Amino acid sequence: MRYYLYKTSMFILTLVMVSLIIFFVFQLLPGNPAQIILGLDADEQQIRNLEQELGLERPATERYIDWIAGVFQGNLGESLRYQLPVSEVLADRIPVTMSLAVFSMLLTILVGFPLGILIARTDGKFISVFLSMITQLGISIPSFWFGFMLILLFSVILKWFPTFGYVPWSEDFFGALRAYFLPSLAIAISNIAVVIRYLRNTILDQKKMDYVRTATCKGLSERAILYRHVLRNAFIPVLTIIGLITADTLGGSIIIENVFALPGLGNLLIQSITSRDFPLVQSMVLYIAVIVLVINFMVDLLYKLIDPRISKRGEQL
Amino acid sequence: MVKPLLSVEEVEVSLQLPEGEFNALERISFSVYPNEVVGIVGESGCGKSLTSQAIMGILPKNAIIKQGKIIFQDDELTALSRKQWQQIRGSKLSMIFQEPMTSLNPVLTIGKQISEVLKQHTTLSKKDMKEKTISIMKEVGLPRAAQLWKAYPHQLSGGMRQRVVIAMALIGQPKLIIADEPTTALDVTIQAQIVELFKKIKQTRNMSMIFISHDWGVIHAICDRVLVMYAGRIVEQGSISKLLSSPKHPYTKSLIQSIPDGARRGQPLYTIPGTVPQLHVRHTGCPFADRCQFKIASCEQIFPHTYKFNEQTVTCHLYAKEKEVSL
Repeated sequence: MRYYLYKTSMFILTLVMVSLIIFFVFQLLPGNPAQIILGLDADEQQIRNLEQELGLERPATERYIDWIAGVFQGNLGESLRYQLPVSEVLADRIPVTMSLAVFSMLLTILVGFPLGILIARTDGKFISVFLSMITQLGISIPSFWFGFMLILLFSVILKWFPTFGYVPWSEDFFGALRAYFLPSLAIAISNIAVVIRYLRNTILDQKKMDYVRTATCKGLSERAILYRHVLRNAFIPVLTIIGLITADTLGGSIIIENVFALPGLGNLLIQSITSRDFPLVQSMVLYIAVIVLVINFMVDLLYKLIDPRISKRGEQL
Repeated sequence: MVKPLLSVEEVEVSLQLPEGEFNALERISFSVYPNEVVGIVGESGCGKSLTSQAIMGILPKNAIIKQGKIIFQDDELTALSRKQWQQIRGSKLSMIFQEPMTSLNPVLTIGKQISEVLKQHTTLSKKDMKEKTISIMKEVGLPRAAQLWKAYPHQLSGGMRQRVVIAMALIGQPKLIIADEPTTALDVTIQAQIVELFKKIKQTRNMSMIFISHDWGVIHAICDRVLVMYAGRIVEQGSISKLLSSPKHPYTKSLIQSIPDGARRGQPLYTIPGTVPQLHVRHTGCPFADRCQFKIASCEQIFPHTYKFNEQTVTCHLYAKEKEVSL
């Protein structure tokens, strides 16, 4: 119980710190925000007008409190480029990135875990060496190449999937499924490779532990030792990796979204930066930071479920 | 004559090392009889643990049994299949390790880990398993067994964890338990408690034990018979009283001489000069020759025969004239 309280308070504290940092970093940018937004060739009057519009003449602390209060009310300011509330712009994009993230994480776990276990079980045999080589490729080849190759193979040659583009789930469920499959796979491939290698290594490390020898001496089969004893211990470090990957995919994949022309967050981030859409950039940075924190928080809670040692100074019996 | 429970016959184990292949155990032969506790003593690296691992079938991957037989009840252990091993381990043959801190799985409860043996080897109901587990936990002196059932290893002290490991080894009611330095990693007061527990187990349970230690005090308290190992060989074996009162092998003599003794308080403790020869520098003669104060000419060239006395056997050239009977 104390563990949860501790983790929750840490989570909130970090959230406050992060929001402060994001806010003040944008204040500290050289020059003033109005100048940055308008570019170098803007005249004095334009800058002054924008300053007024953004409320820049007020003290920073006041503006910070306004901003945070706004965030809690769902008011993130107005996008300069789209002339729409930032929350609306984000609400358009988040489902796309979210679908990609969920889809690719499902693929990562459903393919990565069984293969990681298989490769550890067959350690030293041909199949294991072969799979290890493939995972090495999966890690070293960039995802956009996989994206192009998948398009070439499945869309251009086999014509099983659309080349690019996006269908909302509400319009056509199966169409959306088809549209998301290739980009999700392109994102998942390197993640799968990472999970396989990581799981393999931790399983093999765990197999050397003394408790495995104890289990052998109880008369347990190798299978029972793997599934009952080793895997639970091996999942502890793997969970960290899964958390990192999840946070990363939820932040949006800039490259894959561009390769498949999907209107997701990665795509939006690039656009908002190049168009100096300052309120949008600030909100997206906040979004990414919050996602990372939330995932880390969830990973911490899951640790507690798998690993009983985590409860800080567990009650001695 | 009683049939031995376990007989190890001329077992040779070699280790595959980067420098080449070396014999780590050479022609090890001994028996364990029903209800007998046999101790194995020797310095680190003499092959004590390797011997126990060979019996248990858990030798490291780079160790191979080159020849010899290990017969337990009616099974030849070196020829068992994986399936047959799984049936024997935990139910007829079990093992207790040195490191109670690491030999338990950190993420499973104590109750689950102990009752797992029953799950593997019996068809008892869940309730019966729990009952049996709790009664064995009480037997090995774990307090509040019902509460401990749900505890995790990190919540227990080293001594309590070792009791859990002992409970795990006992619960299948094995005929033979191999205890590999079960008291070494514990502090002294806990050591004494665990030794007491082993004495109690010896009296109340109908089974044999192989007890590995380098602590003569512990060996004396528990064992009936002792094997002295040196550099992968058994150099002397006999009853504990004989070995302590009239050791024959110069190595055993030196070992016993180096036990701290109240009567010699204030004098420097005897230590055996030199160190155990490394695996790759072992030669054909007696491995103890270099450190032996009674060395004779033949010691360096020829490995001695084993000579048999009443309750003792000794592998040393010094006894060639005294006794003709060799093994």
